[in-house]
Amino acid sequence: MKKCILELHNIGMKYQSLNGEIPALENINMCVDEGEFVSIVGPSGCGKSTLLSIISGLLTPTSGSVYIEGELVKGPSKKIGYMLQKDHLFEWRTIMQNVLLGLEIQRRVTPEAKEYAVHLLKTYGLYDFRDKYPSQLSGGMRQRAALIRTLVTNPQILLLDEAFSALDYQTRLAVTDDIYAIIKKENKTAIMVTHDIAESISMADRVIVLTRRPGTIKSCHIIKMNLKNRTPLSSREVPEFQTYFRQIWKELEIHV
Amino acid sequence: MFRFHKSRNNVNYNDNNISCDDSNNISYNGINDNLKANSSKAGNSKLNDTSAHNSKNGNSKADNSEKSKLKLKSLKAENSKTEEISKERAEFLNCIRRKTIMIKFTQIFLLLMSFSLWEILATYKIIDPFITSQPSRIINTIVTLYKEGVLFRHIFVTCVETIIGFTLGTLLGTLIAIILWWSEFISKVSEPYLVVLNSLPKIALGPVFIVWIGAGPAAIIAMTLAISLIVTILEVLNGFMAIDKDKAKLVQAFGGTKLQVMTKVILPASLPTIINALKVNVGLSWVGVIVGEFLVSKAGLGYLIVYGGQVFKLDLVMTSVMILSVAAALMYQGVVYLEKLLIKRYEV
Repeated sequence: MKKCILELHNIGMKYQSLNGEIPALENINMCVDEGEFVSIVGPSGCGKSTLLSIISGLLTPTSGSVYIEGELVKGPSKKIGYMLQKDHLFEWRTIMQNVLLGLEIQRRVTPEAKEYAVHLLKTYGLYDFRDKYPSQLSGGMRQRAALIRTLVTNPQILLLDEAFSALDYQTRLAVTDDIYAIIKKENKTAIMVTHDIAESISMADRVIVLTRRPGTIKSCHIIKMNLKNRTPLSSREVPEFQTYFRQIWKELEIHV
Repeated sequence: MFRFHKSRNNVNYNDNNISCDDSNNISYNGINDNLKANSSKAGNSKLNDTSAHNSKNGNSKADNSEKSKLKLKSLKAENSKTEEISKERAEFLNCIRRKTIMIKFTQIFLLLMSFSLWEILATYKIIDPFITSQPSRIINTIVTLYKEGVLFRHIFVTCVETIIGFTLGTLLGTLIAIILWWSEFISKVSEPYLVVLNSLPKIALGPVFIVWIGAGPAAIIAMTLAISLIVTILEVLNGFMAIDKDKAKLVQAFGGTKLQVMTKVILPASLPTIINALKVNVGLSWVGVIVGEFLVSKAGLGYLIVYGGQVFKLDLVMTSVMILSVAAALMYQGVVYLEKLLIKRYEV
């Protein structure tokens, strides 16, 4: 039995505006195991990103609560690393300075932490680029640098908010493989929000489907691939992939 | 350029079509070369780097022409070392060089032509030099002013007032913009006031400043501030608002405070906007200073212009205008140089 690292209890979220109340999420209950890769898919505007913001502590839910390792989340937590849609490397900082951003903000720039940053840069092939600026790197390398920036603060849970959607398709496939390998190697728990069904199946151990607004959990699919060393790219080639894809596609009920 | 001819024999064909107009070719090649060099250095690591190759094209297309100029320079340096250059490339570089020379030549030619024409027309009394002045008389006036020992005093007074004006305008404007960014309440409250102050012709405030502050340099600087401050506030605040909200979100996700969002993201990301405000302010401050000097002063280029106009000494007026345009251009170039120093890295 694996340890449950993240728990969501009855999460509900309503946005208030002058024109009225918009219910974004309702009654979300979920438990994520340590080392698990969960992806959340749903029709656009169903509150997927809202859910991530709530988990990260940036947004307080209208009802319900979030627990990380049994602790109630009240604000941004050091146990969580957040990756946004674009890499958002700061173009006025070198790669090394970018990577140290999180530590600087948390006032934890110690020699050990720096060493760890160097270690990560070396392991993932960016050490030679540490004094370069983001504009001198390719899209894939930038994404990797953004991941390292998140990893340096040593979070247990990574939240990926459509983290690859700003890349073109081919780069995206390659970067997905890349990032997946790093997440697995560093043994992190990950929760990814995406609108791309194929991407979610190829990476996740579990796919959670949300309904239309207000988002509730519609179904949960445990993804099992008959593969020894599973990577997102190889996952796309096994026959089960299509089966999962069809199931999830039906459940999303996408009507144009 | 002779070097290039030597290498014509071992032509190194390039699949890009090289034409003189297509400056994108430069940046394309430059980026590719750089990345190749880089990724071969880092080639040991396993995760290196199919993605880099994939997105190269995307990167280089997005390049702007500024960057391509830089690349051109570095390419020239590289080429002169290796001396391996294709015939088409040599032609292309030559073509660019010819164009640049033609542009510079025409610019200088136009300047010399208009001054000569002015001089000749005035000498032969086709136009009245008493009203239009003429270049030789302007030079004489400068020499006279210099001999009287007042030339540099007037220039100095005006320049100092301008520099104080636009530095204060930019600093204060940025500071107020920070306050408005910080507090939505203050920002909402001050909005109608800013709109009114922005549309008010600030020159109307001149007499008010003179009465309040006294007829001296302080009133001139107040005038300058009145003209440049509101514009700076609005421009910098707009810059703050235009920064991607997700960048701030990133800092907040790391547990950052509002102050950290300001210092780590908003301010550094707005540096180009602030420099831009500085550029606009240089121009506006000259307006403020000259208007101020028209109204009150006893020294400075604005004073010379008004005085010259009143006693009908057009030589003095024209001379002051000439010095003014040179000083303004120099100061603007100074800001451009500052911009180059500070924001090399902001080109995306």
